[in-house]
Amino acid sequence: MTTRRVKGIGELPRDIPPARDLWPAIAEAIQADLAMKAVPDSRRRVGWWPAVGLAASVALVAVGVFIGQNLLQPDEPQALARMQPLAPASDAGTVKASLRQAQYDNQRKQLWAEVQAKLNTMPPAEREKVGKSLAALKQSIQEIQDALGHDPANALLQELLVSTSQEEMRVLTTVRDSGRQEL
Amino acid sequence: MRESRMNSLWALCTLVPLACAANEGSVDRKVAADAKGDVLISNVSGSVDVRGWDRNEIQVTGQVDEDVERVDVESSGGRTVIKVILPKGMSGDGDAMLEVQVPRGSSVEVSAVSADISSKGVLGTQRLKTVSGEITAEVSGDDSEVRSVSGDITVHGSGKATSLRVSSVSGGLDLTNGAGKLDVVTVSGDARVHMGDSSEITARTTSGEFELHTRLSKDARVSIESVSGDLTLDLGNSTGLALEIESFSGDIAGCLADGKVEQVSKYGPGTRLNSRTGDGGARVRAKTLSGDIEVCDR
Amino acid sequence: MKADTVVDFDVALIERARKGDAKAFERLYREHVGRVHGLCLRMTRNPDTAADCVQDAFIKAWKALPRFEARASFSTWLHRIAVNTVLEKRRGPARAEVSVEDPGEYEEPTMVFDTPVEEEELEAAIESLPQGARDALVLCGLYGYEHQEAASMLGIAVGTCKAQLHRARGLLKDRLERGVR
Repeated sequence: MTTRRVKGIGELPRDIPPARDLWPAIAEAIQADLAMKAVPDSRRRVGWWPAVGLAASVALVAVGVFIGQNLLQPDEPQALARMQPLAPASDAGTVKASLRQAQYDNQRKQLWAEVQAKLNTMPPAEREKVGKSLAALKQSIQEIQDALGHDPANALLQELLVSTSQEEMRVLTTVRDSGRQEL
Repeated sequence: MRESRMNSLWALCTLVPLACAANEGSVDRKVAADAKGDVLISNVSGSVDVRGWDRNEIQVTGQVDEDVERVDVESSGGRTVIKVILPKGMSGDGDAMLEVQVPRGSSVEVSAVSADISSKGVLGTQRLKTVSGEITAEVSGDDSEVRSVSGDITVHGSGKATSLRVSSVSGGLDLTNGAGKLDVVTVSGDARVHMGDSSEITARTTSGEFELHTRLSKDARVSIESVSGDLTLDLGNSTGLALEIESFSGDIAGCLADGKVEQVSKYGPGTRLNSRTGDGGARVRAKTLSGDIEVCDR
Repeated sequence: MKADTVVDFDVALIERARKGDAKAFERLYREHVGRVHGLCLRMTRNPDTAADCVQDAFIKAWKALPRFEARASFSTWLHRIAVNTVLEKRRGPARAEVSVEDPGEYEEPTMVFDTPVEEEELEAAIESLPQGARDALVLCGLYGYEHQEAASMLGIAVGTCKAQLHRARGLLKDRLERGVR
C-alpha cells in the first residue's frame, strides 16, 4: 500500500499500465482487418493461430523459469504466494526461454519418476488415494494449458497455470520425501 | 519376545537410562520439563495422542509391538525428543501407540508416517505432520501447522485469533471454531472451514470442494483459488465487503446484497461478479477455472 | 509537450502503420497504452471495462489511421477516440443534465491542496466523484487538456465543462476535508 503524499492532482500518475497485455486481442482484430482488405479467398491470412501457440508456449517457458529456479521446500507457502505470473517473453528471449523450459520439463519428469517409485512402496489404499490427487493435478494443468492455447492473454488462466504448476511441484516433492523421519 | 532380546533390552536400559521400554510391550516414562518447552515426537506407525496438563513434566505411556526396537526419550535445555526407533532395514511397520502428557504451554511437533495424531489441551504452537495417518487436534497456539498427505485432518480452534496453516494432498479437511488467519491448501480432498472472525484467509484447491463459513473483520483479506473444485462462500460482514469473483468456465451464483454476474470481456469467455457493500473494507477474491462458485454475504 | 524527436518517431511509425505495418502500430500501442489506459480506468472506474475500452480504442484508431492528419497530435487524437469509446460504453440514456451553479467569476482551479494528501486517498476521492465532475477533472486537471478540447471530447459545452470542474473542486474539498486551491 502506497503512502506517497501529493500536493496536487497533477502529481498523480497519468500512465497506468493495464494489469495484462491487451495487445493480442488488438493484433487479432488488426489481422482480421488486414485479411479483409487483402484478397478474401484462400490467401486469407490465418497466421494468428500459430502466433497464439507460440505465445502460449513462451508463456509456459516463463512459468518454467520461475518454478525451475525456485524449487521450494514443501513448507514455504508464503514464498510460493509471492510468485507472480510473467508476461510472455520477447522474441529475442525465445531460445533462452526454450532451454529453461527444457530444464523445467526434465526436473518435472524426474520428480514424477521418483514419486512413482515412492507410490509403489505405499499400501494399496494409500497409493490409490495419493495417485488420484496427483492425476487430478496433472489433468488440471493440462486443462489450463488447453484453455491458454485459445486465450493466451487471459490473466486468470496465466495465474492458475503458475499456481497449479507450483502446487504440482510442491506436492511431488512432499510425496517423494514423505515418511522420512525428520527428528 | 525372546529371552536374548529381553536381556539385551535390560542391558540397554542400564546403559542408557532415558531410553527404554520399561516392560515388554508397554512404555512408561516420565521426565521433568519446562512449562513452555519444546516437545518433538516421532513415530512411524500406530498413534500419538498428546494431552496438555498442568504439571511441569512429560509422561510417555503406551504400547509398542515387538517390531519396535525402543522408544527414546531425551530431554535437555527445555527441549524433549521422543522417538520411536525401528530396527534398521526393517520394511514392516512397528506399531507404537503412545500417549504423551505435556505441560500445557509446550510447543509440540509430531512427525508420523502412518501413525494417527491427536492433540488436546496444548496451548503452544503445534506442528503436526503425517503421511497417511489421521490428525484430530485442538489448536490454540499461534503459528501452528497441520499437514498430511492422504490422511484426513480435523482441527478445532479455540475461537481466539491465531495464525494457522493446514494442508493435505488427498485428505479431507474439517476446521471449526477458528479465528484470525488461515491458510488452507488441498489438492483433491474436500475442505470445510467454519471460522468466527477472520482477518486473512488464503485457500487453494485443485479439484477438492472448498466450503467457507466465516465472519469477516473490517479489513479482512480473503483469496481463494481453485481449478475444478467448487467453492461455497458464506460470508457475514457488517461494515462492508468488496467481492471480486471470477471463473473461466464455471458458474457463479449466490445471494448477495448487491452485485450481478456479467461476462468478463467480449473478447473471451469467463464470468465475473463484482460487488461492493458498505465501505468495501473487507476484500474477497475467488477464482476458478471450471469450478462453480456460490457466494452469500447475508 | 513532446520533444521534436519523439514526434518524428511517432510520425514515422504512423506512416508505416497506415501502410498496414502491424508491428509499427504495436510500437505505437506500447508507447501510448499506459496513458490511454489510465484515462479509461479513471473514467470507467472498472479495470475490465477499462481494458475493453483500451482494446476498442486502439482497434478504432487502427481503422481510422487513414483519416489521421500527420501534423496533429497522435496522443490527443488517440485520447479523443478513447474518451468516445468510454462514453459509448456507458449504459443507460444520455447523461442527465446536471444543474450546476454558475461559478460566476471563474478562476482556473489548479487543484493544489493546502496540505499534502495520500495518493491512495486522492485516487479514491476522484473515483467517488459523480461522472460529469470526474470526467472534467480527469481530462483537465490530470491530463492537462484545455476546457475547449475536453468539452469537445466529452460532447458538452465549454461552460458546462468549467462548471463541472468547479463542482469537482468543491466535492474534493468536502471529501478530503482540506482546502483545495
